Amino acid sequence: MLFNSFVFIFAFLPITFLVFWLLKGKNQRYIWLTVTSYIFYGYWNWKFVFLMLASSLIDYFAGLYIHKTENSKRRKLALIISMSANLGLLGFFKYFNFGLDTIRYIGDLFNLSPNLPMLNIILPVGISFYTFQTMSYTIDVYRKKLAPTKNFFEFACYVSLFPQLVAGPIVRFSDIVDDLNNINNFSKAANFHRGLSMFVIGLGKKIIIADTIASIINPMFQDVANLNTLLSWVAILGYTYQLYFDFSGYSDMAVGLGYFFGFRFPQNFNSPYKALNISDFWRRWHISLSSWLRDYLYISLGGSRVGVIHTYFNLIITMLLGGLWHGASWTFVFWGLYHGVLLALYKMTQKFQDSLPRAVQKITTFLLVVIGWVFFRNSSFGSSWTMLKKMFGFENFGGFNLSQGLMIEAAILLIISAFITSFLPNTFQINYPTRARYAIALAAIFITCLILMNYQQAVFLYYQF
Amino acid sequence: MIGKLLKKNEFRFIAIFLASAALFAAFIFLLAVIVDPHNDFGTELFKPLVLTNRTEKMETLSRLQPAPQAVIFGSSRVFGMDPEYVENKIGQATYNASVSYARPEDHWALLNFIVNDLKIAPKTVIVGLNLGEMNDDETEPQTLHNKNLSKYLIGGTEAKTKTYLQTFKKSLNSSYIRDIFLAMFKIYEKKDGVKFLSNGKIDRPFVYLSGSEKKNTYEDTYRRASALFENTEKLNPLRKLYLENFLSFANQNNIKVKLILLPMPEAITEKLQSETDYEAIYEEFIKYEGELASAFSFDFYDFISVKNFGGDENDFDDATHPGMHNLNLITEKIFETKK
Repeated sequence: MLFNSFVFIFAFLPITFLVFWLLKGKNQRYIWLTVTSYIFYGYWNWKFVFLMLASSLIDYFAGLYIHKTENSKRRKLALIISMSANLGLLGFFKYFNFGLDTIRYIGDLFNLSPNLPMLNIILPVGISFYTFQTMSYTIDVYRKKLAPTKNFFEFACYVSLFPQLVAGPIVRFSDIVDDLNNINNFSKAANFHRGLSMFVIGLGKKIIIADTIASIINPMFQDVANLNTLLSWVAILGYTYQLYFDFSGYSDMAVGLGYFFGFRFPQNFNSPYKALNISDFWRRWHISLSSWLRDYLYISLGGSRVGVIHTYFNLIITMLLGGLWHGASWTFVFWGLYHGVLLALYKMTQKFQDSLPRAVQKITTFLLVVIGWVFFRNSSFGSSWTMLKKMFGFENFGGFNLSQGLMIEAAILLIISAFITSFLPNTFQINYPTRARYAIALAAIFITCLILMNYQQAVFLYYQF
Repeated sequence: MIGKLLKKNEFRFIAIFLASAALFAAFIFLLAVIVDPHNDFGTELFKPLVLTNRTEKMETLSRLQPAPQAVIFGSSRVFGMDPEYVENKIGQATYNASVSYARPEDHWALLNFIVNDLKIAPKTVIVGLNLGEMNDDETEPQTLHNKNLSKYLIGGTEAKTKTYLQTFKKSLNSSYIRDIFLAMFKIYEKKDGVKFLSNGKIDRPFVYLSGSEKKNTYEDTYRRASALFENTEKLNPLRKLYLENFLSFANQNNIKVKLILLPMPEAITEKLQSETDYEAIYEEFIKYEGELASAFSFDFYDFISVKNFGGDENDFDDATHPGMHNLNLITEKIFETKK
């Protein structure tokens, strides 16, 4: 089910909300949220709810066992079993065919032509997100940073919470354990108006900005070879803003929905295009993922405590795997590698970079990020390379025809997007007032979204990861 | 319950939000109905941007001198059937009254409008029928909201009310909102792609389509043709009733009826056969035609395949619309048979 669908807004959400508040006990509310979340998930493909249930059961029992036993070998074994199960599921559904494809490609290079089967595997929506959530839970218990819950309903509710189930933020158990414990106990601290505002603003970011940009640039990415320099920049800048408004819009909606049920989810985007350097960018972009990678991968590899060269290596490996997390494609791996190298270079030249004027730092960082999106968006290295050549004037020919009307529309959207991302506060910085005129403006945005939704309901970009 | 949950100012905020959203929505709905830019609701307070071809053809028919003695009914698949060609064959002034998305209720309502309201007494009617129009989909809003047609529909008022919301759901989007304002302020009159000659035939020059354009057009029209058979396993009983009423009315008024099952390219038919219940529906229709023939007087032509009338497999404008040459051959054939 999509947040930007009529069935979600007018049926699923009101029913889930009203019944939730009619129920009194903790377990009643955990169960209700779990059941509705499973319905939310199963609306796409009911078979995969069993996968989520299996993942929840494995980590629930692994957490309890690790906490209970003092034997370090057994604790480690339980952790390994849990990690293997989670990564096994993720690996099979997301990377199995990719692995076979790569082996086949390498085999072909050596004229081996291996005859490997291709399985028709459907990638379960959101598996990358909930797998990382359950893994963080078990690792935190193993590291003795977290006491596991004994209540399975509470844990199942945490894993399946529909607001953040399919595209994040990747919420750690420790982030919302207090809210889970107080699920039957909060009333006037709920901040409904904040939740409603964030939901509507997120919906607006997605439908009014991201989807409108997408309608202009998607045909360009299908015909990269025929773009000229100007249109290549229009396409990639358009995607830069589309991705931000799409994904941060989803996160805002998720956080907003969380407020409806008493959950305070962590911030996922903190004005990333205002970043001064690439390290700063990763503290602002998809924060729940970058902090997950830092805490559970980079630090596990030794972080920055292992010497300078090893630190650079750790950074590159972490980002490379972060790239792979986004999808089973070498372009994602390269995108991760690119960011890893940029982070290592920043570490090397931090003093120099920090001494540059702020405007230079911001623009340079933004351009570096934009270049990275070329590999993130294009499906092959060939089209990525073609686009880069066109962007930097090495090839400035192409017959792609963008009408004058669409060109003006694209220019207006890019200017508005640049202004919002560079100068306006983000949704966590807004002090949501309760004044009448603000409620009326919000209602106008909401109705505009409903009208635009009637034309096309586009899937959120991060659903595919 | 809500009162307990919300702080006073939050309660006020959410109440104002909900009331404003409801007001905005009501305002837009009202505006859509009053301005009616696509002539969906038949309000007629503002000049619609797009005249539906039902309204356009009904207006032309009412002004036609001399009144036609032969009338062609059907969907866009017979837009190109040439009244002049018919006229030359049978010596009767002919008008092509085919309208887009036509269903049996359209043939029935239009014939009633011509005979009862315009007091025209045609001698011949030609009905170009496609199997898909006997499906279960809703009556076309253009028919439901046309007061001169809806009065002939079975349960017209009820159906009209029922489809108001469906029409909103189907058409209310950003383009529609833009059209409301264009119609209100008479900024320009939208040029509809389809234009008709004074005899009702489509006015269209021959357009050469390149390979890729042809492929896209074929795919697009195939999708639409295939959608006609979605969830359809047999002929819709109400549409059968409309067809029976049509034939009965024609017989009572001594109107000669020529019913043609229209062709599609062989490859498209095969695709429909493999992906939908097309074959079963066709067989049911042929059986049903036999029953009709025993009750009413009419000529039936099964031209579902070009082979049945010696047509040209390549003369189709897209996946469903027969080209001019095939339509002329069909016309030739249906009057030849008479001889």
